[in-house]
Amino acid sequence: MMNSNNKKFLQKFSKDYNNIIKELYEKNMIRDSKMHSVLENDKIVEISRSGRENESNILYDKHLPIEKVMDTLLERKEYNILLYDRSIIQYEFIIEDGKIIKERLIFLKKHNYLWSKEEIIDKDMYNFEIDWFEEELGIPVVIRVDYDINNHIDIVHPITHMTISNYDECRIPMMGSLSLYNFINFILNFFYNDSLNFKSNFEENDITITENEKKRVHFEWM
Amino acid sequence: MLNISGNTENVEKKDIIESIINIFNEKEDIYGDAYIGYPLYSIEYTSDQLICDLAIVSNYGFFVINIIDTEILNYGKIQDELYNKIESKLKRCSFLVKRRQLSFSINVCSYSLIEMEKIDDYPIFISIEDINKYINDTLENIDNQKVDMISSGLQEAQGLNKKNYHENARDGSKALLIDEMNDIIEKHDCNQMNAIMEDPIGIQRIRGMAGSGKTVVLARKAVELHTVHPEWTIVVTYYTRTLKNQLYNLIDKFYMTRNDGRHPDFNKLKIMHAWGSSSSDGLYYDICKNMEIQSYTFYQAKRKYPLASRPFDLLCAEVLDCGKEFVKLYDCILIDEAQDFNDSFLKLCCKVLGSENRLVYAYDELQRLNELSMDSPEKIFGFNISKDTPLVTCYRNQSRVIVTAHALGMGLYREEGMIQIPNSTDVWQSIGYKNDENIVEGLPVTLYRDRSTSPDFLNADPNDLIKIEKFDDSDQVYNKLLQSIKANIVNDSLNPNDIMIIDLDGINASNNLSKIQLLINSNFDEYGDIHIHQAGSTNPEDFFRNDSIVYSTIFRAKGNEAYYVYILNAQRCIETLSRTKDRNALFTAITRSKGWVRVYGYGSSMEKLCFEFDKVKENDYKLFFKKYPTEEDRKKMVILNKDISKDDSEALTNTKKYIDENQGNMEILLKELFGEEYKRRLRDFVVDDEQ
Repeated sequence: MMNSNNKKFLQKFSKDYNNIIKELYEKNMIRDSKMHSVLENDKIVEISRSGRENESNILYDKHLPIEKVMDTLLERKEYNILLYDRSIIQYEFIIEDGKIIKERLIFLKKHNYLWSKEEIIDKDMYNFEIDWFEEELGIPVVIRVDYDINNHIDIVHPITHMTISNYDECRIPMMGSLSLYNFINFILNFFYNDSLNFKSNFEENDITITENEKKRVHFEWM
Repeated sequence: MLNISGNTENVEKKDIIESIINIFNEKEDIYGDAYIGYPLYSIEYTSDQLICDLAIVSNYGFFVINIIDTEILNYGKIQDELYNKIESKLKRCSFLVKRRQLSFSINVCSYSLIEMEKIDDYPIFISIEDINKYINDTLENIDNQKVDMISSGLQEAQGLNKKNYHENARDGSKALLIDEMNDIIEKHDCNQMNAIMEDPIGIQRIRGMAGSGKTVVLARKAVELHTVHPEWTIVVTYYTRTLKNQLYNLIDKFYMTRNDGRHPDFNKLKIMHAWGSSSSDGLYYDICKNMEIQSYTFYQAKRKYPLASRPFDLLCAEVLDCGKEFVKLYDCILIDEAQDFNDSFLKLCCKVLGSENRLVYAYDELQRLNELSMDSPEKIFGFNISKDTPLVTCYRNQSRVIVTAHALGMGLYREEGMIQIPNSTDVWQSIGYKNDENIVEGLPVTLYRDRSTSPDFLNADPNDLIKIEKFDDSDQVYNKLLQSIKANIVNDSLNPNDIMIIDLDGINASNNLSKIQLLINSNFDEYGDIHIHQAGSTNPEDFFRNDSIVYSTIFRAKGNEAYYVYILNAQRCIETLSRTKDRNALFTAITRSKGWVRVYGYGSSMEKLCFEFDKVKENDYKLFFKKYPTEEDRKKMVILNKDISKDDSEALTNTKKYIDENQGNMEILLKELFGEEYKRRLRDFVVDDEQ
């Protein structure tokens, strides 16, 4: 039997997920989506990508150009949500007794340019022989949010932190774990001038930031 | 009559071969194939190729004849070598072996044009009478099916079809019918064999309609050339990027079969895109690099020629006119889907091949129904070519499907009159149509297909192959689509990659797919196991997936095929401002199917399409022209159905956008468009339409 708190968490998570997907489809923002897999044992629930391969670690390889990283992830369909401009969203959560004990959220966008959906459709339709995604140059956006309660070192390795690019030492403290809803909204707000219109089923934030970490520049939200 | 493949330049040998073939052709109910000058390779013995002068696979036995025209020491050795190589090839086909032995004899003999000393147990003849007697004494009864099996073995044609067996397929399901079809012995027809074996010096043209095996022939030809001339630099090139994997897989598979499991050397046999991209080589880039002239990427070219719809053509023309001397860079270039290119690319290829001019190009003769896809070789190259093979048999589409595609594509039974027709009457024959009486303009003509050019290997209910259905609105269409796909998975045991959905709604296709995904999500219990993805989601090669059904626009669907094809928004092709283009799209969409087709749409336009399809059925899936259009009729047709120009189309889009953005000023806008009497004009229009 699944732990009842885990069950509650999953129910809320699924509702949020369905609403997110619905809204993104309504906005025509999704190119492809892959339903996450849910792995349960008596205490722990793991929410991950179906068909996840270890090659996704390619993201942490510092010697590869973005083209190679993107191509590999796309080729292997290593995403949960693929946005209309082929930006990748990945998420993984480990839940224990209804609480997140580990999470990893990733947003990967190859170009530092916002094309409208119409522009992309136009490129896809009429010049599809020459792949716009491959040919257009740009500076990539790579954002990773990690939550790891077991490896906390005050200031140096905050429980929840954001890493920009794949620069190891960059761990900007965050107030607490970020729900999928908040992560997607964050991406929509700051990269697509948009936001989700429904209300999340998760109401409380799980605060993990320490007083020392608060003294430095950090992320905080309501 | 035996089907003959291959040829020989040697006149003396040619005479003898013809006489021997005649011996067989005079026999009652002769069935089988004759192969002239067929090359055999096998590294087990020697890497040299051995030419088999004549092989006859027939219902009267299997004969291999070596013709001697120069002094040799031991002709028995050649016979042994021929026997061993052929036996080892055929023994690899389990369907030809019974208890470790071939289930028929290979009769090897020699015919000598010069005096030779006879060796015991090695038959040799110097006259037709003698060899005739030998053949008659050695006859063996082989049934026709086995004849095809032996031919398939000799051609090493196994693996032509991608075999995706459906495990756990239900009894009587469509999946089982597909598996049965794929079990039919794979064999190149003699037109295909001729195109493969044709001597490659000079330009060779291979033409045929969709599904006639052009890509297969081209891939096999590249493999034959690479096997005989491993030192040559051979390029196989294309424009549609989804073709890359298909070409690569075919070439690798054929080479492995021909060469005892070895892979080709892809540094010598290069498969590359005609243009290339920032991450992969292309033929154009390669030529520019070698000639030390500037090359352009897609975006650079767009900037240079902002108004050109196909800047690639201009880039090739630029290289041709660069004033530098061309040197030989490659030994042979093979171009697939050559109709995607204009003359300048073909000419450019010719320039870098040296004096041998080994250029092979395959193309779809009638990709658009109103015009031939390519100019004559004389017009392209400035001289005529002698090597030209039409592939007349259509293996992909079932005959009913292809006839429907042609009828609807031309608008043959359209109440307001036909929309388009090929401008030459010869084309019908070269794409496999038959006519009992000559095609005379202005008179009735009936064109039909028979088993010889439409073998219809799929043993399905013919009435179920193609259906065209009208719905009230798009929601009904999408619901029907999902119900039907569900049935495909549950009842028909089909896999997601057996199915293709083509949306003819062009620019709105991805939004339509979003609507379908929402429908799946809101009926998750019913449709949760249906996964659909947009073609090209992750990269241009992303088309079929094992766990998801592909949803494609017509552009991306080109060059792909599936057993079960759904065509959505077909109403968009009927009452439109670009009739010829949109009818061609419908034609291309239907011809993607190796089996079944469902055409869905809604509204009054769809009613018209259903009417046309009813006529196709009434005419028993034949093309019936009450009066075959004359030159004059064709000209009128062209004028009446001229597609809207790009400028006008853009103006219309802008107007629509303007109207959307200026809803508040609708009245002023309408006055501007239709004048002071706009209300009356609009009312008249509505009343007219309702009547």
